[in-house]
Amino acid sequence: MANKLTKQDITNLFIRSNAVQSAFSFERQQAMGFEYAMIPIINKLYDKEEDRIAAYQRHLTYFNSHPWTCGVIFGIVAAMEEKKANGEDVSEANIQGIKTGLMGPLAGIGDSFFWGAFRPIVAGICASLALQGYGFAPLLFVLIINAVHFGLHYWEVNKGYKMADSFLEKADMSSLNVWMEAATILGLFVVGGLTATWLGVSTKLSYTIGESTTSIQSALDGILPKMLPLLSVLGVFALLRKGFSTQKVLLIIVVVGFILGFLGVI
Amino acid sequence: MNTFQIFLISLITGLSYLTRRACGDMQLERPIVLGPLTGLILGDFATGLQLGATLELIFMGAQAIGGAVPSNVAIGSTVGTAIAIVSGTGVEGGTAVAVATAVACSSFETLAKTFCSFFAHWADGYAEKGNWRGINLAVWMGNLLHFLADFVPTFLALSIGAEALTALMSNIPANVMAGINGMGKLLTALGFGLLLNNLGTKKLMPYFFIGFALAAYVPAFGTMGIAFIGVAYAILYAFQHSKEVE
Repeated sequence: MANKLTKQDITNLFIRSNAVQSAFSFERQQAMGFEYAMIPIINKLYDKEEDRIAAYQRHLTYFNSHPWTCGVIFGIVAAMEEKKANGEDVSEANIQGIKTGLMGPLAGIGDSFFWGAFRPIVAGICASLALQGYGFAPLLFVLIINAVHFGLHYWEVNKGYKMADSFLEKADMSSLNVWMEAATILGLFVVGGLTATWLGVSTKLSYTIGESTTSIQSALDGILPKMLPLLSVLGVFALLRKGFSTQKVLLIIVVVGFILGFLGVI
Repeated sequence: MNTFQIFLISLITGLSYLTRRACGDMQLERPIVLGPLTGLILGDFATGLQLGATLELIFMGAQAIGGAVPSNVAIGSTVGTAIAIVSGTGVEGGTAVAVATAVACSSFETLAKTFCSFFAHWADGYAEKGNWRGINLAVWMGNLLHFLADFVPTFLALSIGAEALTALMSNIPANVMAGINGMGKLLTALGFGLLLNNLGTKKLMPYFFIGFALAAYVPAFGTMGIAFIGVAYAILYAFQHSKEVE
């Protein structure tokens, strides 16, 4: 017998897939959340107990993408499970291949576009409004962020389900990679801009020769404005690239920041 | 602060973090949201708003990417705002407490993410038996653990530590305060450095420097101006390269 997914099932998948970061662990990352979203789909599609068990098990494996851009994967995977349940030639490896193939590039787009550019820009604007005393700024932040977030996620899940056929035929990863690089460019561009705009690192030091006192900061500004923010970010970047863990870099920053602040250097 | 207020503040801290887990990353754990909310609970919205906005700029780049935990922004925001309002030290003192707390509490999220392995294996066992209700239970137990990882430290910090922190705030030497503020300034660099580490490839790094130079030399561009140019560059790149693919 044919088990078909309805519009209602896909809407339900949208709702439950918002829980993708549930029970997040270092070992499986978003596996538990992926499983949680898929359970009703699996229950509806597979009549045999053994098929359901196999499906529960395949979606408990490691998964890690971006919570805002992973919606497409849920849509496509639901469509693949539907085909598999109806006897079409879709193997477990096909499904895993789509999941692992898409999760990286989509996470790249999400990290660079949303965490690198969109969120900081909206936050910067709303924080500026709040500093001027506008009480609606926090609400504005939440509304803008989540109108985009939920609207996009809903569109993605539905789009993924509908376009699964054409996507699986072509398996056109190359165009996705181009958009991932494009998002990375935007992310890098904005992070550069944010470094120059919002990083408050400057030196209070000055030196006195005879009667005149020169501030070192204005001397540095003459060479390159915002030189210290740039050096701090590049310093962190260099440490991370050398293989230092986030926790270690955090510790270094806390110690160095405290000492420099204590001594009145920054 | 009475116990009910402390409970409410801890609750919004825990719930904001829970929405990150179970309601799509709604960004409710950001200082610009939690600062004003804490202010409302304690009857001083204005201070909460100012502090929330200040902290938002400090923690602008702080975002867990790929599971790495740079600092606990949620606990820092609520505890910092609460102490600032109760002790009357205002934005500067609150910033120092928030930064110190966010750093000190970063390990709780790490702890929750480590222990959630246990729930994943629990779910494996249920999956093997075909017990989907059991899997749901394991998921929500994991979420509960994540909730507690933010709720409990906030509750303890405010109920046990509030008096000590308030007393400390009024006696804190100026240079120690300056030290903590120095920490805060460099913390912003950590957030951006993490993003850069995540995005940067040799081929694309120059875009970081173009964005930096534009904003550094022409402050009037602002971040929106930079974003405009960035979007245009990105689209240009995408169109040029998708042609090559065809």
